[in-house]
Amino acid sequence: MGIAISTGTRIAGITATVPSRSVSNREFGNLTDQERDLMIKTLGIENRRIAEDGQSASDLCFIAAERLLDELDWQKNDIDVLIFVTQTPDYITPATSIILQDRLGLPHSCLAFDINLGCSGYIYGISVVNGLLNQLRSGKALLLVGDVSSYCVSEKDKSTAPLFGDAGSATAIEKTGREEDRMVFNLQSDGCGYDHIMIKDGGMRHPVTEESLQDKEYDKNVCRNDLHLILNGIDVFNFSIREVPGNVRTLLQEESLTTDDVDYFIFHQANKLINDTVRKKLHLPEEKVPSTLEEFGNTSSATIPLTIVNTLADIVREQETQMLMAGFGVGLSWGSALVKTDGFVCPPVIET
Amino acid sequence: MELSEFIRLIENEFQDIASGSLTGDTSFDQIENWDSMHALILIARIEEEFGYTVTAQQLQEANTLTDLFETVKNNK
Repeated sequence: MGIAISTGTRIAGITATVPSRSVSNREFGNLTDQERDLMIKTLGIENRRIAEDGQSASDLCFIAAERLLDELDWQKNDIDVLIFVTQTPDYITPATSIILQDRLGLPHSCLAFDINLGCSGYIYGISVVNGLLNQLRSGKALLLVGDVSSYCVSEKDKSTAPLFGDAGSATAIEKTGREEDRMVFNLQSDGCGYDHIMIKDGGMRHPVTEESLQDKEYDKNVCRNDLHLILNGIDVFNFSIREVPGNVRTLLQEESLTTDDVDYFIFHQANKLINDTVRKKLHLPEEKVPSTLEEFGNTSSATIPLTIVNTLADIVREQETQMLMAGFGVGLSWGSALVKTDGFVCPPVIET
Repeated sequence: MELSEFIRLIENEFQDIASGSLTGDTSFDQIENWDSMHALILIARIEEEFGYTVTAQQLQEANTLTDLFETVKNNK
């Protein structure tokens, strides 16, 4: 949609929740030691947090939201907007955000809907929330973003399972009406790559049949059925390298900024090979580009808020920062956002 | 860059590939333990060295290391 400018809203707080169960990629699958070492070194992922049976993305986000409202001392009756960004809803229908409205005890005057996006979803979520808040005279919004991708991957598929961890987050955004509270977005899509990251069966295009559940072996240690997530590593790598640096450069140019003007670049945590290549193409110093891959892996839509909470909490609580966030992946969908922060509530990562 | 340097680049990138074991006629399925992870790393390394991103299809169509080298050379 080109460059989108929004003024008059600010981030008031961010919380993130991860399941307490940690799984090590050292114990993953039937690989040789050499294969495992190469995999861990390339992906940069040692451990992942995996939801307990029955623990959903909305459960993780619910805990994050309760904590955030508590820390902010916001009244539930004042929440006007609740958006839930996820690829792993509680049900195919209805939208999980509406269930969360009731579960969180938010008023009936609160608007609620889901956004079906993954890796780019946090950026889109902030942009949508800002647009909604700007239709109100005053207002407060909760942006809940999270996924339990572990439910969707085959444990016998080394091209997906070792990448993904589970996490949920909550971001509080409020209308201030101040011109200087400015966020700028560059949001893009390319559906021609829809099959690079997908779950083939279970929607209406390919309803579930008995065949959906049959495991197929595509390669050594690449075994899954059609209800599992597919990820074409090379296509996703090429897409990320082709699109993300240019998207980020355009955003900076539009605001007459250089990479030196940005304090922190918070990228979606895809894997180390992709993230390092994107960082090098933009000539960014490592210390400005925090990572949580080693500890949490790729948590889909939750990577950006989780990385902020896990690596920058002490800074964002106290200081003003100029952040550049960028998400990219499933869709294909990608986008970046320039966000100035002025000290917001940010307690440590919650484990549940 | 010459073909021999390109081959050395690949040998140096992977600890599990013995130096001197590859030639221009080697195909990827002849390389022991070669898998999608190796392919991904190779594409990243070529991108870094040549600024050109090999596609999954190009990699699949390259029968030998010489084929891949020519693809990169002709497109960069």
